[in-house]
Amino acid sequence: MLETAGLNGADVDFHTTWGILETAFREIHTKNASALSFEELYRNAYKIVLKKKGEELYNRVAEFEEQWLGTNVRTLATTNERREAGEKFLRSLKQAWEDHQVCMGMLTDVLMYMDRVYCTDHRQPSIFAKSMGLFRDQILRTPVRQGAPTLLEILTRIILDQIQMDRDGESIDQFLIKSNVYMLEGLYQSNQEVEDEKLYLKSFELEFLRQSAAFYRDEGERLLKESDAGTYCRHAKRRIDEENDRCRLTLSESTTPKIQRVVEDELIRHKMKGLIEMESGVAFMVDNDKLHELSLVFDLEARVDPRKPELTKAMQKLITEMGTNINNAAIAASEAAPQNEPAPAEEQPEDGKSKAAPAKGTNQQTIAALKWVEEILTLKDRFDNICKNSFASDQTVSTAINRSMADVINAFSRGSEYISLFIDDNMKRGIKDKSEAEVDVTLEKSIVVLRYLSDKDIFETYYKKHLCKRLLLKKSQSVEVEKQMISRMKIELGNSFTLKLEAMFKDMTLSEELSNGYRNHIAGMNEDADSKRAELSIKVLTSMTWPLEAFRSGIDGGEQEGGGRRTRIIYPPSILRVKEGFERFYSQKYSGRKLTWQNNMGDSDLKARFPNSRHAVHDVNCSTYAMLILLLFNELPTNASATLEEIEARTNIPLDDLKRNLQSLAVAPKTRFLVKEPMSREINAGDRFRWNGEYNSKFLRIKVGVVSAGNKVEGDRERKETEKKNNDSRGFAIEAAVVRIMKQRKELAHAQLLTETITQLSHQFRPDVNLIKKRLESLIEREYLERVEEAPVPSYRYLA
Amino acid sequence: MSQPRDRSGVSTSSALALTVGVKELYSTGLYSDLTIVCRGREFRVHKAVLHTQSSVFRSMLGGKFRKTLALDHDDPDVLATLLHFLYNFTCPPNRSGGATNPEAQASSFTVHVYALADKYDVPALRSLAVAQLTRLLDPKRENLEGFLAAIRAIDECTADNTLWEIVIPRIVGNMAWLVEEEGFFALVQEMPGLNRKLLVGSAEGFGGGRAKAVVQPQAEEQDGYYSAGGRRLG
Repeated sequence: MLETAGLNGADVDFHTTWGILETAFREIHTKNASALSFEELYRNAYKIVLKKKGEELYNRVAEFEEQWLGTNVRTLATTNERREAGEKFLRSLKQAWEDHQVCMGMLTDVLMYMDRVYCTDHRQPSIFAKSMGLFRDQILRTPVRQGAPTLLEILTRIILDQIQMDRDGESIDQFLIKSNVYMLEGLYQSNQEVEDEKLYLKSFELEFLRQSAAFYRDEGERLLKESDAGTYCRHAKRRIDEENDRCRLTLSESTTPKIQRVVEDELIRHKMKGLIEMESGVAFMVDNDKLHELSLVFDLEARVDPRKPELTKAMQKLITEMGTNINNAAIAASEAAPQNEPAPAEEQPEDGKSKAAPAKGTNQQTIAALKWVEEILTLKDRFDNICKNSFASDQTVSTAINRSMADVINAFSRGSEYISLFIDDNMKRGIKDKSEAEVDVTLEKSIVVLRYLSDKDIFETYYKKHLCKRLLLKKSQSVEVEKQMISRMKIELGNSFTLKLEAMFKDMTLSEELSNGYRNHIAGMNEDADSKRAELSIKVLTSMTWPLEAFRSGIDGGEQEGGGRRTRIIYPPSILRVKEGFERFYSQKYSGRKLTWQNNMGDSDLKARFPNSRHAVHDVNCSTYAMLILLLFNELPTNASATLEEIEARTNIPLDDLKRNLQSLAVAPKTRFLVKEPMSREINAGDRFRWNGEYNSKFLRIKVGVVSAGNKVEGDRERKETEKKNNDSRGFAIEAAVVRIMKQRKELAHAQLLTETITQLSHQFRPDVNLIKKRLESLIEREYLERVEEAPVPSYRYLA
Repeated sequence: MSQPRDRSGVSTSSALALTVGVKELYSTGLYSDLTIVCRGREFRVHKAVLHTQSSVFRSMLGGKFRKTLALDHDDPDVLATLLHFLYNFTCPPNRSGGATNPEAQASSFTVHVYALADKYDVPALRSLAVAQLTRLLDPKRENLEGFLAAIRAIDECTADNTLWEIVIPRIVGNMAWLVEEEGFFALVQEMPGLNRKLLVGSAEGFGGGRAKAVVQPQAEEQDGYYSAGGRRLG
């Protein structure tokens, strides 16, 4: 038979066996385990459990541990140490805990069979877990004496004290605290050992977070008062790093996100507004280009909110402020202008040099316009730079910055005009002597501002007008660059936007071909082979494409209306012959087209002889009207004079144009080909004019100034007219959009129609709702639409 | 191209080499770093093998206690089986050793192997012993003595219900002729707990799981024999 020693004696004497174990446990707790035989202890515990005495054994062990902790350990941890001596307290508690851990580890080994068989079957916590609970209850939760705080409370207070010391810069024993934190992390609120009910979380961490919040709240407030924004940012960042380190080295990593949240709340989230508004805050940083400080503010807020609301708000406010200043300055400059500025009509002839330099007449308003664009660009560059260097090109912030830029630009009623003027000025002068790359930069600048503009249709109007003058008066430095600009606009604003502009260029090319064709045609005709025949350079402009009203002087405005009603100019025979010759030529080429002569826009080259001048023959360039006046005097006897009224009658030049041309010819000193009686600046009724035989000039080529040729800021009346025209064309655009939408939808609610219309037109301009309503009324009147009577919401139906 | 691998990614041929190699180490005693003495018999073993397969040996070898190599309280033959298993993952072939009734002895020996595997926490050997006992245990008049010896061994040296679950249905199933045997009556009288186990076993045969659920908790309170109902093999 088999013999299984020790088991054959059917009765295991529990008391004897337990006695052996208890003695051994005492040895273990007093660190005398090395003499004990594991085999013997394990076998005895095994025997007890095998004989169904597991429960009794478990309870005895628990009792033993409870007693041991209560009598031996508690006194060790408490009575020997004064509570004031924080570190000593921590050290002895750590020791007690670690001893307990080690001993219980050994007991667990010995009682392995009990854990495995008895505890598992009876759903009891392992003896180790049980003893940890006993440690918590016997050591941490028991008051030192009646009414006194528990060791856990004392421990919490001491650790918090130490952390405060650490924050104040005193050195502490991080490892010692960490050991105690390990203990708290190893213990649970209850014997169930629920993972998120660790003693650390439930008792210590809560208190730690609460105390930290109070500390950082006070510190933040104090710093906002005492230091500057840059220092604050640096401090806040350092505090967050410190707390991270503290969690890693002193407390528990699991606390990191929580304490970070506390510090972020107290030092950043709740203080961001105050920080930004400090005297040394964001406005100061922007003013003084403190890019690094700005990046600190950005980093700080980015930590707590990916949308960076406070910083974004502050940046927008700054842009709006600075932008409004620029706008106001531009308005002030343009309003101050009329007093300081001599009327263009008087100024022009004065510097009518023989060289082509009429664009010198950039008056103060134009300067204001250029200044506005430059300043807007500078503003944008400045904030772009901040965005790039301080805000890591953050999407949210840069979007907000762009939105504010757009608001600033669109809040300025003359934006469209000023941008067009800016381009105009560059086309005429700015790009002169510039390299291709520089020109590129200039063009890009214009596009940058243009991109923000919402009323693109108004811009188009101005651009057409300005372009028209540049082309007809040959003011452009380079047609190439003009075309580049157009293609850029095409990319940016779409095909339809540049259609008319491109048509203007086409007209120009065609006209050149036409002029050449005509010249050849004349040369081929024998009968007219005399060299004295006047040459003609013609520009045939499609009437709908060109904004010819641009050539009406800004001063006399729209008094003489439209080409049709214009009085017929009386041409001298030599000119008439050329004119009629061309008309015949043109009608052969294009039948059915009607030519209307825009004399007010033309200019002419003459050869003039003055007996007393140092040059026998001068080349004179003057307006077509001036030519007509001068040719008139060719027909008069040398010293004969003609009155204003006589000249008017013999040429049929509109009175205002006539007066201004006479001013150039008889008042401006350098081009005084005529003598006026009486001599005065103004041309009055009854004034007499005769040929100036005494005229003398050292220049071979003489340019007679053309009044109001440059592109300038509009006068009030002009502006009103532009606006009116613009509103009219917007009206058409709105009607077209409405009809397009309704044709497709047949029936649509009012609100929806408004939204769709606005969306459709948004790339051209921001339509005014009242204007849309008016147009709707008008469409209903004209029976394009009708109201749907029975509809629950106001709706329209399309009438085909 | 590549060798077959088991789920942990170890190539199976490597695992095989190790398995074969470890067997050889035990049979030759090469590199043995521990000698277990059991009632005069010596076993030359390797700490690593013991450590990896038994938590009890692990604590015995690694704890802070005095190291003991004498396991005189265990049966040397059973211990030999256990150690053999740790190296071979099988039980040694027929070790009846000239006993008069090998089959009967085999049953109770297997029970002791199970008990030792339980004591030293070697779950795989426990499973193996259970399987073996299920196969061996077949009560007949001829081997009644061995059958009763196995029941005595179960009562004596196991604390859980695992083996009872094998033996009770066999008693119940053979009740017809068992009741005629004096030896069986003597056994029943000797073990008061067995009565109840048999009653519960018959009830299960008739009423299924419900009766079991009702009866067991009562039994647990009254008698420690019923306590291990819920245990599972590792």
